[in-house]
Amino acid sequence: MSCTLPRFARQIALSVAIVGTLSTAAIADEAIAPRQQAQQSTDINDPFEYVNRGIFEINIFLDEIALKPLAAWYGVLPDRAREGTHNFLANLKTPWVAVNDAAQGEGQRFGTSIARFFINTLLGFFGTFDPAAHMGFPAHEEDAGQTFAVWGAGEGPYIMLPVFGPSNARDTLGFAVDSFLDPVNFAASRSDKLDWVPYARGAATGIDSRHRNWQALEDLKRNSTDYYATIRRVYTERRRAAIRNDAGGDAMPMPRMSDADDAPAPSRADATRQ
Amino acid sequence: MKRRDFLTAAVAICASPGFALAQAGGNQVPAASQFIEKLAQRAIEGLTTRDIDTSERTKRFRELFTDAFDVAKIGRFALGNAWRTANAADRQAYLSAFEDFIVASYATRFADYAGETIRVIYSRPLEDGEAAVGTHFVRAQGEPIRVDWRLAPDGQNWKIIDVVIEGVSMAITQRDDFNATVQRNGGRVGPLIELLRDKVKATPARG
Repeated sequence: MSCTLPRFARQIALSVAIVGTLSTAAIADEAIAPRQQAQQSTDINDPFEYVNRGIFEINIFLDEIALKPLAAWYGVLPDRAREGTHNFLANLKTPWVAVNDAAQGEGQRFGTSIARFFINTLLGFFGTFDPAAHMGFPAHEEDAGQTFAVWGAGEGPYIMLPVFGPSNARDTLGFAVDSFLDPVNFAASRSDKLDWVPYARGAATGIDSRHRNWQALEDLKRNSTDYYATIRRVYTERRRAAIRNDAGGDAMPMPRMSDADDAPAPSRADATRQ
Repeated sequence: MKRRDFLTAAVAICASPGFALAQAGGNQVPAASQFIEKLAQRAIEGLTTRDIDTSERTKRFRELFTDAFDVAKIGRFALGNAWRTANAADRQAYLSAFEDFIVASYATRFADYAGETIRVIYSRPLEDGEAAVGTHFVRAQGEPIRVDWRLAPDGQNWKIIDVVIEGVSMAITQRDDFNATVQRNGGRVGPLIELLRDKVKATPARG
């Protein structure tokens, strides 16, 4: 249980991944998933489960041959260097976090994001250190998917994206908006000399996330009998928690464990009849 | 009243049996947070020591787990609809495999203990006499991990029925996972039990 779960949603979205447009036919046999699945995860809508499972298998394959090795090499770096890289990438994202704070009407969090960006850029060696966290401006994440949720958009169907991993209709749209409207990417893509920045940044963020979630993902895989179903639940609940912004309060909803599941065992007669 | 006198009086009142009873009778939730604190203390003292081998650590974890958790209730919940249709023999085999699976999954993790502590941040009553206790799992480095515990009354004590890590309910995640496996096998519980047993066998012995 020592997994690094904070910011898991975002990280997992970028982690189980790489490129894959292969036909899903090859893995179809393995991926044949019962369609009546939907009845089980009543609060997660997964009408494309058959296709999603195929993409998931490809993502795992690509993860094994490409992303995991890169993350392993990244892990060889000293802690300090990795922490600096992570801080730098987080700082690049902070202006976009501020935009989303504002769009969600979160005035105080907007102020925190603005303060963090200036403090860490100016005093934290272009964001490689995080002095703002020690000055009462702790880090937080926001993205367009969360903003859409605050505006009232539902999750829509669960979608396994090639390369980028678990998502849903709302977060897929949010992810596209994030990529294009992020101020750093937006500015860089307008420059002839810096148009590579969004790609390098995306790759670095993916590798950093994969490394940070290494243990958590290993645990999830080892402790599951159906990795796809486990990831689907973990992704969805992490997103819901991120949208609620519940960091420290007692707002965490405790799922009710219905007594309907406590039905007595069938009698011996029932058992022998089978 | 001088400050010291006030403190003496306050300590005397709190230490009196009447106060303790009033606390316990009026509101059972503080006891729930104590339950979690004591459990954490017991786990740190008994499970993280480096002087014991894997089998001893596993034995101790099983004791603590079956003591503090309502394993049967969590197991029933995790099996979902399939519990209702499973026969008595399958239910028993499943619950036993489920317990072994959880023990194998978590017991050896305590060998990696690096000074983490659990700090209670809130506790509140839920419906049916249940309680929620929110904690921060504080690590040497990195942000604390939010862990919420759901407890059900059990005689004079509590039993944990769910652990919610950073918003993710372990009971519900387990249920999705087990259900997918049962569905894939045409609604039969047997293959799930086999898979759980295989996972236990495949658990690397370490620490």
